[in-house]
Amino acid sequence: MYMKRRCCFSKIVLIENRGYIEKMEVMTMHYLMFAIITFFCCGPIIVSQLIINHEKKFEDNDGGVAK
Amino acid sequence: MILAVIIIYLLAMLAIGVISSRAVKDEKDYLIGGFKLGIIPMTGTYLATYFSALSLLGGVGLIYRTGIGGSWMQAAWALGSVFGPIIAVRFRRVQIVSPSEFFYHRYGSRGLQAFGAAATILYGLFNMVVQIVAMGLIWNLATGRGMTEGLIIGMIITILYTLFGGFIAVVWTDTIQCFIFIIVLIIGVITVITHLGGIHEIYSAAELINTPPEIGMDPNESGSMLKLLGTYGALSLFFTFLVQGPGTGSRPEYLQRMQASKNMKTALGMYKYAWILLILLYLSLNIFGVGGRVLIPTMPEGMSSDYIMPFMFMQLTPPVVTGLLFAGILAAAMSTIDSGMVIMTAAATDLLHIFTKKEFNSKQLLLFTRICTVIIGVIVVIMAVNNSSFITDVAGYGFGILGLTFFVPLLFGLYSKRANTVSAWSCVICGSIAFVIWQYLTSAELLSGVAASIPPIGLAVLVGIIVMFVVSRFTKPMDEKYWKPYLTRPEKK
Repeated sequence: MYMKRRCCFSKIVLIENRGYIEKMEVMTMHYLMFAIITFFCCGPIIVSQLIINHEKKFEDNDGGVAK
Repeated sequence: MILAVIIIYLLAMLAIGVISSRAVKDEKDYLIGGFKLGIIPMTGTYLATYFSALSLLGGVGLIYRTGIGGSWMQAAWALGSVFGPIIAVRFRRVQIVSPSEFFYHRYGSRGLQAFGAAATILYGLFNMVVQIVAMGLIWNLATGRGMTEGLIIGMIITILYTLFGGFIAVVWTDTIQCFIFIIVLIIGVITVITHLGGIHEIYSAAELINTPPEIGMDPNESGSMLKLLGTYGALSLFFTFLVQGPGTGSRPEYLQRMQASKNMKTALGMYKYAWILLILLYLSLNIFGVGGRVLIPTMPEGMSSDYIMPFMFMQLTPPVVTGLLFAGILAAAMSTIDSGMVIMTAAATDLLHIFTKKEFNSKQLLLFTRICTVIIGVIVVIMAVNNSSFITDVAGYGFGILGLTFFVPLLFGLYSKRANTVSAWSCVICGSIAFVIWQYLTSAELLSGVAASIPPIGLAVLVGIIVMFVVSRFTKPMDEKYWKPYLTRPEKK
């Protein structure tokens, strides 16, 4: 009887845990995808800002366009 | 009501064209806005040109069909756009009107310049026909009237405002168009999230979807909508980045915008501000695609999943908002078409100089550019109406060859002293041959296994990079007058 109850309990805990993990996976996956999109889109922003900062070191503020 | 909103929008675009025409004095104003455009119009035009009707409809459609993994395509575009500012900082050091002029200034080759101009025109035809067809389909969906009627009306308006105001009209209409589709997407995302009870609820419900996205397609497995890689394998994801990335940063439209900016800070700043907005737009597209699938698990019979967004708007929002959405999608298509017309006109002007070897005055060149705009507009309408597969196939080859020409010799030319005419030609010829052979083998279904998953342009770019590197190592560098303007900072003024 004890063993049977224990098994049932484990099963319930397992099912509950599985539900929790699945819920976590759902949350993790789409937020992870949002983070990936944001990460890649930050690439051009960061690179352009780095180059702007680098260009500021030079006084010819047009980056030296030959006209 | 929907039709009224679209007509008001089209007339507003025409009005901007007429107003802009006052600022057009010569061919430089017409083709590149006189090199004096500020950060707001440049950010607007970069974003609007970048964000085409294909990104809007096809991007959401892909996520609708395959789940969150569909967003990898946008990640690849973002990675490719990293090359934009890297190219801009050196490309702007010599002022030019047409991007293909770079090949003359850096490699001293009129042949390479003509090749670049021809590839630009072929690619432009391909890109524009696709956008024009999308414009016709949206008109048909919005009004129930004929697709041909829609694409002709849309093209007449686009040709007219481009004809009047040239690049200046393009830039300002793009900015307004960009503003419209940002507003529409914000309204749409808020509507979808509130309708479905929250972001988490949307994605939780998406996990259970096991229906086909379109009637006749295979059903999705439960949970597949939330697979991080979606339908991609490791190899296909690598080649998606290789194919979508490089070309994105170096397309002639963006090179033209680098030159048109009034200073370096503007040329670089347009990337920064546009990409801040693009993060929001791309996240919205992901929510739209998955939310659309939860709301409408299978598209109605006969309707492509690419139309999920307009279809969803028609179900959920009042007619004025739906009308704005259709105007927004038309805006996304028109902003890409008008940029295509101007860049093709610039390439045609290049070819005129190369083949006639004559000097023309500003008045003659302005007339030539305007005539070119009309001719190009008429040709693409004829192509779109007739849906000629031959021309589309040829233009498809142009698209691939352009990606190769405007990426490898451009980057090497800007960053390597050793890049020379022989290596640039070797890269273009070997890469093009690899592209044509692989394209043929792929379309004839003669490849299998790993080889079948290698896209032609990916292979062409790899071949091009290797050939350009090897040949430039073993041949004589060019005279410093060719590379010095790009590779060294000019003296202070």
